Amino acid sequence: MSTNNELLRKILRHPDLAGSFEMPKNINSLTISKARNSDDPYVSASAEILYDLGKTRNVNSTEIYTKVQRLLRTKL
Amino acid sequence: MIINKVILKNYQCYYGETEIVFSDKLNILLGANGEGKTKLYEGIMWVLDELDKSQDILVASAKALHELKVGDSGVTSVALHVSKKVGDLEKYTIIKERRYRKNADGEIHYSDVDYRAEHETVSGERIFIDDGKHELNQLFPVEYRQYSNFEGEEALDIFDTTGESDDSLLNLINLFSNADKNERYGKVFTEISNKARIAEEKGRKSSSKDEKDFKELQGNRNTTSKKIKNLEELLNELEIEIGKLNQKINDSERIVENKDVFNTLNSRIESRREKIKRKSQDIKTAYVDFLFDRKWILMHYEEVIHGFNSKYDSLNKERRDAEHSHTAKKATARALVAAKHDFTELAVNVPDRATMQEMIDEETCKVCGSPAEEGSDAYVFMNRKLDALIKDIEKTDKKTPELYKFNYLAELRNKRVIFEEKVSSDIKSTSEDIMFQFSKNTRTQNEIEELYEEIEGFKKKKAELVGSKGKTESSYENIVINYGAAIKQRENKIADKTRHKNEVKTLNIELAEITGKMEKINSKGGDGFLSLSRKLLESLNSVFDKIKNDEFDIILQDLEDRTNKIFEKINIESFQGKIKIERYKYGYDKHSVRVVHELHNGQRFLTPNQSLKTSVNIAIIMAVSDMAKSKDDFTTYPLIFDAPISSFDRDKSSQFLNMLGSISGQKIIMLKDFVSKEKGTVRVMDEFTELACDSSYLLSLKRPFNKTDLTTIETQVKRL
Repeated sequence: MSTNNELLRKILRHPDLAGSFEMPKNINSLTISKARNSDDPYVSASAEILYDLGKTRNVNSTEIYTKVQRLLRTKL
Repeated sequence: MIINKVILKNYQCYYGETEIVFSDKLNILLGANGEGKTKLYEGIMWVLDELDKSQDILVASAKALHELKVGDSGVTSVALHVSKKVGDLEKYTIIKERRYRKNADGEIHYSDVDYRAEHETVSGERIFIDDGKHELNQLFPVEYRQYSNFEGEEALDIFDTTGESDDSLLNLINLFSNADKNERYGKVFTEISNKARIAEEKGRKSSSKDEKDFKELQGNRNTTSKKIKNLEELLNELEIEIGKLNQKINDSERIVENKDVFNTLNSRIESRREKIKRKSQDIKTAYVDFLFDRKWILMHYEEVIHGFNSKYDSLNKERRDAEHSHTAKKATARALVAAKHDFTELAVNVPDRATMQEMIDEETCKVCGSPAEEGSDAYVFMNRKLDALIKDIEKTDKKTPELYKFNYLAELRNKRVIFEEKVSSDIKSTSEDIMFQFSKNTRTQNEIEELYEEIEGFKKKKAELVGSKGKTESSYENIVINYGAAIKQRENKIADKTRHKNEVKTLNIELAEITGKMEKINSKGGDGFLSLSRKLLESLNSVFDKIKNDEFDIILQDLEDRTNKIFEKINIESFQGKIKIERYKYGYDKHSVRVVHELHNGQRFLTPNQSLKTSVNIAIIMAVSDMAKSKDDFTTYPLIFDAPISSFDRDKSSQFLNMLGSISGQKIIMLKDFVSKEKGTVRVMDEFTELACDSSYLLSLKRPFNKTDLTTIETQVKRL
């Protein structure tokens, strides 16, 4: 069963996203906590979503959306 | 988890205590129909909590309940001795038991089911656990348990997803994947992406013309999406219907090809059913009714005879006493008369009655020696004297008449002799009648059983011919008519499917165009940030969806590889292709999994017979067990089958079991093969000794028994 860190790496490594952002140099050891602070909107947004999803089973998608939109405002 | 042994106590037909020790590899339990196989399977299922709760009341042995005295109590229990892995010194016992007691009114009172466990540590310390179910769930998780036990060959068909809405295989794959987590995460990714799209649409600043166009496009998009969804659901339904028709056509083709054999089998089954009907009518089991309805005279026979005899004896004595005193009385009276004649009225030498008659006949007076010719005074005198004597005697006799004119007692005595002879012959004949009827019933019952077995054999042959059960009961003519209709229906459905697929294709192009136009309007007058944000979140959603599907496919591929590896070992069929476990989409956004038999040239093999399907299903079940074994937190679990290969002939069964024995993992299999019934006794066939199984038992009912009386039913277990 994949951990959320592995899941983040899988997302960022996916060929569909190739060229959309610059691959972090430490991708093999990248963790959600490190990725949340990234300047790249793809890296930080995906890490933020997985961070919230990993916190509890009952997540509120509106809250996550609002948080991610706020985060993207500063990075896009 | 490995089952080391099971101990059944007064469970169903297992009267008293029965212990069966299992090996950690292949275990085979043989038994003819109705001799206790399924009850053993159910016993194990009872303790594994896989039986319906309503069965709890039925678990006690009828014989044990019958023997229970008023006020006494008893227990029914099944104890499963297990360990986590082979050779583990730590042992566990899971016990399920139910106590019962016979009340004064003869009613059986059952206590609640007690479900507990015992844990024996490596050091030999015993720990008693109140919650047996919890302990069992720790040792053998419930999600795996559902893939460990299979009752009958049809139960193995849980993976036959030929269009029925059966998600067993899908659920199974999900068990090994991150399905639950992925579904939750996927839902959130999609919701965030949708919110971004709505935000983008709301944030759009556009002219009134753009607004009008946009609204129209929005309406078109919704209508087109709805149409696509409806058509995809329709296509799924068509796929299911075509699958069913394919199955029907395949089955019918087999029957059409084997018309004569099929008809012969049908007529044989019909004739056996007729015989069973006739024989069933011959069976009479109401012995008690028979005895009291037709031989009621035997009721209280002893008392009646005893009463009669004592009455007869007392009456007889009374009569004899009365006769005795009467005779004495009569003799006294006669003596008095004689005395009177001898000493009072008659002179000395007066002759007696006979001498007097002689004197008259000879016309001579023998008193004085003078002649007394007829008509003479002396002759008249002698006659008068004789008349007087006779009158006097008669007068005396009349005074003391006969005491009993009729001898009724003698008649009664004769009647008693006849009665006794009749009753003793009745008793003898009744007992003979019952014994005769009983043995006739047993014989007839055995014959009926044999007829049922013959019918099962014929049905099996029919099932082998048609490939699946259930359709074999229709007449040949009906099958031919249905066959023609099914081909026509299939052609129509395939045409509909092609048409709808093209419609979906066109609608998808339309949808893409509409979406393109909407995006153009958005980008013209919209908020750049919202548009970028929507694109980013949409791509994350799409990537996550792909990862989710990839993960599912990896599990699917793993299962397929393991299945084929096992199938190669156990395959005894002429089919030499591969087993594909493929995902298929249905409805708008649903998918499921199905098993496909693929030939080496890549074509699908559409007509697998039952034994091929069974081999494939067993291979999947073993592959699942293999996958579970490779998970870190879980070691192994037993596979328990009741009659899994009933469509196999004996040669195939032997080959298959030998192959199965070569695969690791504990397997407990109950089989009705390899046993024969001869003159009511069950015998294991010689072929069985050639099988490479690690532990085997014969289950058979203790003889004699009466099938209609459960208190005579007791299964005995013999290690082979």
